[in-house]
Amino acid sequence: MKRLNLIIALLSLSFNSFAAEGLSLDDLGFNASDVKVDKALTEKLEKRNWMLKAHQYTALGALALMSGAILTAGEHKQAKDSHVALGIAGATAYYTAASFAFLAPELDEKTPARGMTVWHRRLAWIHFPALLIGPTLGYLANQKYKKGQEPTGMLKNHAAITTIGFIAFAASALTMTIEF
Amino acid sequence: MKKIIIISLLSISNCFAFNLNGNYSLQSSSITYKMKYLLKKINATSTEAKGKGICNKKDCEFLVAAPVKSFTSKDSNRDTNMLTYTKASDFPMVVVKLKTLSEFKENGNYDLDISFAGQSHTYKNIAMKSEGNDTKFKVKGTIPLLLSDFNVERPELLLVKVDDLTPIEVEVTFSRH
Repeated sequence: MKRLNLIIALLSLSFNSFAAEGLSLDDLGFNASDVKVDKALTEKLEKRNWMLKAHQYTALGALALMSGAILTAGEHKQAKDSHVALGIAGATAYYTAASFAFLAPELDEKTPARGMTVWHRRLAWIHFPALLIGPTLGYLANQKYKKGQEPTGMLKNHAAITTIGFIAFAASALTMTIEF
Repeated sequence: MKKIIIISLLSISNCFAFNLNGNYSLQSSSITYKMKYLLKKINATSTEAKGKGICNKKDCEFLVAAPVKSFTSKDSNRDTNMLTYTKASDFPMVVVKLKTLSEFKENGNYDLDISFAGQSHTYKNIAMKSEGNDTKFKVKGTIPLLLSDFNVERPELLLVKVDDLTPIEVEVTFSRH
């Protein structure tokens, strides 16, 4: 019993001397939410990070493929196979990139977007519809050329609409890479 | 003669020191990390640090901590990414400890213990500038933090990783209570 008392006394003495040794994080009075370890958030952050990295790489690939599609576009005639192939590959990469961005998990503690992220998202309102409508019109215009007809109305403007979309898309990529 | 006077005045000003004694608390702070990407630089600042100091006649101990999530830059997306790289959900705080003699010099070099992202590292001989007196003083300095010291994976943009060196600018004001 004496031994036990001695051990308890020594333990409490060593504990007290350790506590008195210095300051600890508890002394600073942070909120519990500030110091809380959140495993669910770790998973969410890792998934978000992976998806946004994939978004970055597929978007860069889409830009390269779309540049090729623009360079291989002919004027007022049936599209070359290379233009069609690069256009389809570019569109696939573009929509894959877009889906990574849309599906990346948001944090619960959502803070409003700031800085160039705001412009990155705003530009999507231009390039997303333009890169949906432009290539569709291009496909329809090409069908007309194949039949030996001249495209009319909106079909004539497919190149202009797609180019606007491409410029907005490139600008959107620049907002994330260069400091303005 | 003039030179001698100037040199001696300069050396006197460098030797300026004050003795701290009592308990101190952090009144205001600004902690900024500077990250260099290939084509842009990111500065993220936290003003939400809390800190305390205990000084006796011989020595002092200071502790300053800030939540990792409190560091904000101009770009919200970049800040969220940093939470991943710094493992902020597992290790939510950046903690800086300083043990020093109670005599605080205007231009002193200090050893700082930093705990961050689940790792600790001591940065030795960090030059700090102090001004004020024993009741209220400001300390300024830059810590040459390396991400590799804390096993933090370096973020990348366009397949190029950021610089390992991520200087931390610290400006803290303590007052005695």
